[in-house]
Amino acid sequence: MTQEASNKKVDLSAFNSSPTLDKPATWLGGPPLIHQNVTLLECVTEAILEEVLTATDLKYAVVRRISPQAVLVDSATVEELVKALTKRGYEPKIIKS
Amino acid sequence: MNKTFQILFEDFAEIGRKALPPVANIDSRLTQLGDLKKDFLSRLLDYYSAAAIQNMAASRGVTTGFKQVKLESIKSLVNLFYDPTSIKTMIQKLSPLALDGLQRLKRAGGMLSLVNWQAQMQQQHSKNQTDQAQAELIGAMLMFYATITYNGTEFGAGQRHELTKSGIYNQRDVILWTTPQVLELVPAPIQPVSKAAGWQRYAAPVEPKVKNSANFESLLADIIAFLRYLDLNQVKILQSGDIGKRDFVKLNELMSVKETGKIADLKKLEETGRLSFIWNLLLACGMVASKPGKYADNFAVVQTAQNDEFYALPRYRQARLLAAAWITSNFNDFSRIPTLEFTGGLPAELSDLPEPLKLTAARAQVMSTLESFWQHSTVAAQTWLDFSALVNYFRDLSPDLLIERRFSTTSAYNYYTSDHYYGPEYYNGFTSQLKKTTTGKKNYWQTGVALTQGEDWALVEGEWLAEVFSEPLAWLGLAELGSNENGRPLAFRLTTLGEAVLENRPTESEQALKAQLEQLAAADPNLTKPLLVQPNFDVMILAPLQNMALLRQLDRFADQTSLGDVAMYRLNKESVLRGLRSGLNGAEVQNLLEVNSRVPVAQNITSTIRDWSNEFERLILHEKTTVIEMPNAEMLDRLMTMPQAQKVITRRLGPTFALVSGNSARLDPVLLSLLDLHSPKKTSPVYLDYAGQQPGILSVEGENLLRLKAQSGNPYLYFRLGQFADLVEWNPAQMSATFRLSAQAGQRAQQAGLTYDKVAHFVTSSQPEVVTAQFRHAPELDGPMKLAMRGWLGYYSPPTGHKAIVLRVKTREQLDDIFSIAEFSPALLERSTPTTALIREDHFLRLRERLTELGMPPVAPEFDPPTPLKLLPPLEEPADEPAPTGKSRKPKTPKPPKPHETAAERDRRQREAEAEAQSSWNRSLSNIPLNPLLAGSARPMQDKLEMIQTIQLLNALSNGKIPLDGLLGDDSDFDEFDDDDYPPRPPRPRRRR
Repeated sequence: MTQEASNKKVDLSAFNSSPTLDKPATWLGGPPLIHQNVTLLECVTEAILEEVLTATDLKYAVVRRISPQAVLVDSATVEELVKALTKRGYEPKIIKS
Repeated sequence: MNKTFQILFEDFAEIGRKALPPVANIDSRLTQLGDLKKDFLSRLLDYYSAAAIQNMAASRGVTTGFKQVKLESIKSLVNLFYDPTSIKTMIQKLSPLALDGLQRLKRAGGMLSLVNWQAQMQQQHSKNQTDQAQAELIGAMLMFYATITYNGTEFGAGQRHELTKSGIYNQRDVILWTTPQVLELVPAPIQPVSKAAGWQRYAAPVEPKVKNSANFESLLADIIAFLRYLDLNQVKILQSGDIGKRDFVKLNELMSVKETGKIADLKKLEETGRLSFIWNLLLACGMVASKPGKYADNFAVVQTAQNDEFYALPRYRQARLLAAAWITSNFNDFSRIPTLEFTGGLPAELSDLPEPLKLTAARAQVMSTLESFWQHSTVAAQTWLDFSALVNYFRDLSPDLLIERRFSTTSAYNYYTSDHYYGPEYYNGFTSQLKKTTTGKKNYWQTGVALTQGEDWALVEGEWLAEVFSEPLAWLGLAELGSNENGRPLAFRLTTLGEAVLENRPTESEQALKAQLEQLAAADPNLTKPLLVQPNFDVMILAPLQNMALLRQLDRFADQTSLGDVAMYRLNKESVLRGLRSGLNGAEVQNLLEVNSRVPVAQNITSTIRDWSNEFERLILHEKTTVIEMPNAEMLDRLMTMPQAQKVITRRLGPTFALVSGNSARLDPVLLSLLDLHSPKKTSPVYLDYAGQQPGILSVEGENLLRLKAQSGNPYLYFRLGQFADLVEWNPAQMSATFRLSAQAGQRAQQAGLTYDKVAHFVTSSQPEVVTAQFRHAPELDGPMKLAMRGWLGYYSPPTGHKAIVLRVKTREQLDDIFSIAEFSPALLERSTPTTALIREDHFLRLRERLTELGMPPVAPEFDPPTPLKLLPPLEEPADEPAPTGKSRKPKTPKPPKPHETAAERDRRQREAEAEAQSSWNRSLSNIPLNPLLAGSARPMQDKLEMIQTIQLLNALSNGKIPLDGLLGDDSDFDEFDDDDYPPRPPRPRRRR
């Protein structure tokens, strides 16, 4: 992550008190975790992710940040999220498995 | 090839057989008739007259004595009833006429109504010949009479059967039947297909006029337009299975062949012709399917795989597939017959309107007969054939082509009186414009003449055949109907495509085109490419109907502007985005254009498409996918190098995360072994399902604490709780956490769009269920938590406070009257009960003043003006009087005025009454303890009254800050008084009216 992007990183803890928003859910020696039925949002660059987090309601829907460019989002509200992103000019390409 | 296409590519006859099984198979009665006991057979034959039995015996070669001829004959005939040798001999002896009759019975499955059989025979033979054949078959014991009632099959009733006449009362109910043993030995009827008479050339000098030209290309163009409309619009499917009016009106505008008549007047799709035809074709061949929507609605969805497969088929295969789809479809071509007038309101069991399956079987029979004939004939395509001969041919081949006549309607229905029901020997439910004679049975108000089943076959089934050639087969490009100047059908002919479809081979033009393209490809491959992409974003497809697969692909990301010999498309951002949304990517779009274009695609086109796709693909959302999280990056590094893991893991997402492809459940064993292998402590992987929410994982502690049970926490649950509560404690090893509800978290939840209902539903459905004797349900939130959550989550709006005076009255009408006046309405804050109003404090004095003026002075001592100190006169202690009781306290009612009372007497009596009332009030005051200290003291009453007056004075001086009632003692002391009577006041003397 660039220094600039790092400085502008959105603090998700202000929007949710989940302990695993930015932290791993397992630990060294702990079990590998297989997260099923998740909704993954990937961005081309980390700057775009930060931009979208800042500009849209995505920040309220982030379940976990798993990399600088990818977040897991709330599957229950994915339709509303897509509408909100599209309205702001960030229409995502949807891939259904 | 998909399964639907496979079924449709079967023989037409096979499609018909699957739609409607042969009659013989569905008639279980016939099986029973092949195995009757001897005593039963004796009774059966006994229903025939002695002459008939004698005839049977003679024909079967049975000799009996002179006496008891019939009984002896029956006994011998019973032995020969199922005897194959005897049956075979009798069949061989039959005249051609009788054999024809028996073959007709066989074709009907072994049972046929007498009326129907006679009608069929009389179409070929005279009435006498028909009677003769009937007598011969009955006399040879190869055919029998019976009737079918609600009780089953009955073989006789009333009179004995004669050879040519049944003894059953109603001849319309008589059926003819034979045994399975006879059916086996009857030779198959000569195939009518070989009869050239059915396929006569039309030889009139006048060329028939084609009603609807066959044009398969226009059908294809309309199908493409139809599918594009379904693709671009969310088209709802109604309960009837059709699309709604709004859609079919719009679709009609897109069709190359528009509906005849005014489409706005039509209410349902089934009332349309070509639109309904195309819709049913698409459903029947699976190119469009119904998909349930979010609620109870169904929507039409274009099936991409089936469409791609269809477009890749050669032209003659496409036509054959659509012809088969028409056969199996629900398209109702019977209702399209222009010469029939349909009359509704008839019960389905009495109506002769063919069922959909019967129509399917009839269409299959027509197509299979055409196919069979064409494969054995030398008639060339485009040759006009006589239509009336075709009608006669089908009437002879299959009298029950559309309407079942094997049995007449049972006798019970003969007494059924209903509109448009004319009787079992008539067509019911419709009449024909072509039968306008004044004679004939008709309903008393119905203008149409009832059609007779024996005579009017050509007006019903014949007209249906004309309709089939005129519309569906012409739309499919297979055949055309020629008519005279009055529009009556004269001739029909197959097209070259129709001939190719029936012979299952490509057309000559198709073969020529293919050869031409191969020749061009050999010279320059680019010349065969159909696409021209111009720098101004226009795209042309040459010979579009020859390149339907490409047309369909281009449809996904370009807007069609015209379709003719050349199809014109235009690329724009919205159309390209539409393609990208449907699953294409930018590279695929560019590749499609470059591969199919005759000239190189301009650079501005490729760069613009790339920009649009890059912009669209900035964000990619994977729904319902699986992600692996490893304890550290090194473990994931090792895992990614494993060949087995590479089959499972799509790519790495982060230091410790990787994306899993496909259904993880299918990959469980592989993952399990891999993860076990790489786990330092051989820890089994933990599967966390974000979609499942089990009850019982959450417990509520105290007023605000929510605790996730051990081993049930996962990041998604932490997220859900973290939306509206603050984290207190988290134990990752135990997979549990505790959260606390708070005002700040509530604010956060509101910003995220959460409401109390959503949060409450999540919390209650996550708690252990409450199990009662009858139900299991989620628990309810307890009071303090419910109030806190509602407050913090904005469920309640902030309350407002006002200074107010309570105004109470005895009856609701009083308040209604007061506040109906505009002057008082500003004073009213709210009506809290029907008899209680909250008055604005600053308006109260004015209100009180006005109400006093109106004779309703409100009793509100706190607002009374201070009164000058005035000692009350001393009370006389009642020496001998008993202690006052409630009864005694009640003021005496003034006596009614005496008759002839003078004014002076009246005034005196009034004064006495007032003095009495004042005295009673003073007595009641003397019973009130002034305060706890004074209560029960033995001080004289005068002291108490002085005390009251002193307090009143002080009260007035301190502007009401010293409450009088506090000094007067406990409220319980006033229990005997109503609130309304406090402070007690002297009752008003009743005034004389």
